[in-house]
Amino acid sequence: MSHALYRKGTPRNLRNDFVVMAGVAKGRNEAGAAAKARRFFDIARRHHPVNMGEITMGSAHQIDLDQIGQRLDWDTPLVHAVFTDAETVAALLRQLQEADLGLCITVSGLFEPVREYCRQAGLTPYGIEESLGILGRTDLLPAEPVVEIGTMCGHGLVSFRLIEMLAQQIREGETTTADAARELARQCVCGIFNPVRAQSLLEGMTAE
Amino acid sequence: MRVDADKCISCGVCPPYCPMGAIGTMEDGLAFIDQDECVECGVCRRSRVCPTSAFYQPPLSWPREVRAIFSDQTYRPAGAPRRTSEGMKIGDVIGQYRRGEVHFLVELGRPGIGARFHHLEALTSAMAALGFRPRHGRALARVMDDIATGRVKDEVRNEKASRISIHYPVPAEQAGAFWVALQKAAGTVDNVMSVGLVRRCEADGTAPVHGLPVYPNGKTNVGLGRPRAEEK
Repeated sequence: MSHALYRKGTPRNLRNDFVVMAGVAKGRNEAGAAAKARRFFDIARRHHPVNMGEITMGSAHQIDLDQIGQRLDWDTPLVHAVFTDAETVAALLRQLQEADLGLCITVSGLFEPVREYCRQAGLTPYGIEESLGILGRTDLLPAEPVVEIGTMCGHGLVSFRLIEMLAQQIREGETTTADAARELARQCVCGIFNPVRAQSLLEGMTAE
Repeated sequence: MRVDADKCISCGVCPPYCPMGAIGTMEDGLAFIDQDECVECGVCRRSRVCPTSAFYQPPLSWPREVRAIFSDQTYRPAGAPRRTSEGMKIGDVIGQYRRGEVHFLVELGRPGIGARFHHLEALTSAMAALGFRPRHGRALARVMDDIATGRVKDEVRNEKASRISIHYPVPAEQAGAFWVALQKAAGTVDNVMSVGLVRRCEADGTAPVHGLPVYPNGKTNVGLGRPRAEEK
């Protein structure tokens, strides 16, 4: 399972979508990982992520961030933070490089800015995961903007029907794009859903 | 997942929250969950959309439990350790990826459709006939009888999950052939599948162009994990 892969979009509407993940491999770098994960959590939080969370505990849109930080007390956490620009991600990576936590750090987002940061910082990326798209019965899928929003939760917890219903409520003036985006973010447990990008996609969906 | 009919107040708010569309309402407005469509992902209960907390999770036994194992990242079977990271996210300290090899990741039912294990059998048997076998990981070992032929266990064949992941390691020079075979096999499966490609960067951090059609975004393990795995 690769929960932060396959975020569908265009190079333009993906410019504000980056997820930084800190993970640990059991039996390799787990010693002291809970404290290191809390340190990652604190460092990332200072860069004002639009979402944050831990894969089994919950996200900033479900529980208080302080609680997540305090309860990170086991040695195999997977922590996420979502940002809306490449410059902030570069600043965070710089700080993580200096902190030298030894956690495994992965960035999900446009490849080019991440590649450029690594080149400038003298970092040698270990590997990449690319998406080759969707095969098979693509006729089963809803309209493209719904898929673009839904794929921001790779565990599939953000229902396509909920996206369509909220878009309809926006059109009818029953809710706002900001509230709808927050409601969608609330469904994603690990905190990789980007409510800022969701809001902008909802604005596009409901503009006409 | 079930709905406690004594608690449900027929408000009708919950159905759109289910990613599988498994929540319906009866004539009197009471919510119900189609047990055949429910993948035990737990979204309805966790979303706290129900004003009376009418969703409840009965204990799951095999084979139904396979739904939660594949669909709910917070689910932990009795006695099982806490889930750990896997794949490229920890590749820099595990070192399971080798240069000259690529790993295709196929996720049946993703995005947002869900898949039955007979879809898994349809895909893995079609790929086996074309000469490609998946990696024999823990997850597939639970549900497959024979990895070589792609046969799944009878008792899980009609169980459903939000997505089913299959991992194919392939020599880099066969990546094009695998991609052609996968597109052919995908035509025999009555479902969607998201396909990813995982690979090791070169010593200078670059990833060679392979000519396959990829999204402009994806995941980069930036190589900060320590201790770094031995070079393979």
